[in-house]
Amino acid sequence: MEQLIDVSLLEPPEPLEQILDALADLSPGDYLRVKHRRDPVPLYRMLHDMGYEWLTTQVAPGRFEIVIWPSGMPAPISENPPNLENP
Amino acid sequence: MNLGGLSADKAPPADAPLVLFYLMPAFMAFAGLVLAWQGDQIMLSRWTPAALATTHLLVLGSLAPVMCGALLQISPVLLGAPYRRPRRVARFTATGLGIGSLLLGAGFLLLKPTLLMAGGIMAAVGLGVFLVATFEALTTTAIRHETLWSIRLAAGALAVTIILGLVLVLARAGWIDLPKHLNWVDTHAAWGLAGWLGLLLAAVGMELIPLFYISPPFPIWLKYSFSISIILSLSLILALGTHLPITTQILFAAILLAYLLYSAYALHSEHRRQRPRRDASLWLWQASHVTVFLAFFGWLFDTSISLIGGLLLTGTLAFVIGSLLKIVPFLCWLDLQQRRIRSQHLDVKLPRLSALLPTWQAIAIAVTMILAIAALSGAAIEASLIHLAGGLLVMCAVSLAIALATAAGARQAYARLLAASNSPSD
Repeated sequence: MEQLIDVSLLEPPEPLEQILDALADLSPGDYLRVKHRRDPVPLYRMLHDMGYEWLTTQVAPGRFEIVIWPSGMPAPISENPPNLENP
Repeated sequence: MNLGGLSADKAPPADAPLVLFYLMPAFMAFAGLVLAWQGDQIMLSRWTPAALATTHLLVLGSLAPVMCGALLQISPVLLGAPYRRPRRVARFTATGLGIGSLLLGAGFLLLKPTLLMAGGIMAAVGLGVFLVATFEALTTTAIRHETLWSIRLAAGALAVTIILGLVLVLARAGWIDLPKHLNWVDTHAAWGLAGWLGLLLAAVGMELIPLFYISPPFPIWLKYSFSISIILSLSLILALGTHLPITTQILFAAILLAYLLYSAYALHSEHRRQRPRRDASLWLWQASHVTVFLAFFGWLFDTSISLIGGLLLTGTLAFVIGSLLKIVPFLCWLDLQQRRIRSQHLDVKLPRLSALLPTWQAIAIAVTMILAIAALSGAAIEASLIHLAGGLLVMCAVSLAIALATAAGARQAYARLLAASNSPSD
């Protein structure tokens, strides 16, 4: 099941903090979709080290969506797939 | 700036910038004490020993270490320009600036040229090491960006400031003859304040304000024209030396106008922010922009130069402290996150950012700093208020020390917890 959080209007590093909190609360089989105003590059190394995979899509200028799921779980099929191509 | 290009992997260890940040409250308190004690003398003339001591305690003891620490952190993460040995550079710079500022402050207050000489050399060596490491780091990056351009210009301005400062120390010690040496003091102060501190702060501010408050970015033309006009004006002042004093005055006015333009745009950008919440950092940043206008009006109405300088310095302090309130909890939190992930103890709950820097502490810092600026401005009408400004500066320094100690204590406590969780006895 998809869990959705919007961190677009938070100041750094609150988006990181909320994303990591949300991941800790994920139930087995769940994945996380994050709405962000930036491509959160510092997050990716953390996700890699914590055993997660991700897919980032630029939906519009200044609007990104990041789908995050545990490694080993099949990549989730998006319930609301973004229309634009990956950056 | 494309923060999509942020590289947390290149970030230095957290204790490298923090060791430099910890110097700030101590020297701010020393400067506040001198201001509270010798305020009358300082108001009389900027050439009094107390005025010179306060300036150097604030600039070299408080501001320069934080600027160096911030650059140590920002260069690798934002500009892809990591320092080769960040811990060693930070400790060396902190030692040079710490001991150098103490000796310079004592040398001015006690009228001891030997202390001045020793302090000047210590501070110059500390900053010199930092400067060499900075130029080395900035030449390694492949990123081409207007902020990098401004930081390089600010680093160049620091080199000029150090050289002029050493020449002045030699002149004061009687080793060389420097005719009209007070003009050279002005040039030294202008390169240090407007070239190094101001340019670096404005360059960083043009990135931090939109980043933290989700406000419109500063236009590229402003970023380039600001740094070029400052460095060009300072270079002309240096080239003219003691000739054409009227032209030099016009150039000083041009520098002040450039800072007015930057401050006006910064206030405009903060006003149009998407995050409506106001916090201590925003108050401090806005206060720092307003002090540029206060200094301008002071200059228009022929107020004491000491007071104008004091306003510009406290405005700079306000911006730097506002930035520290953002940077320090972030650094501590990031350090703990990385330790937690490395140790694979993802079950350990880390403190919230608000626990690393409680809101009431940030408010206490902002309120005392803003009151200090207000008291300093009021000293233009009632001179005795300068003593109050000094006392408020000490209170602000104590509040800042408590906040830094709170963040450091929480970081150490959780670092120990993570280390214990990782021990073989588990």
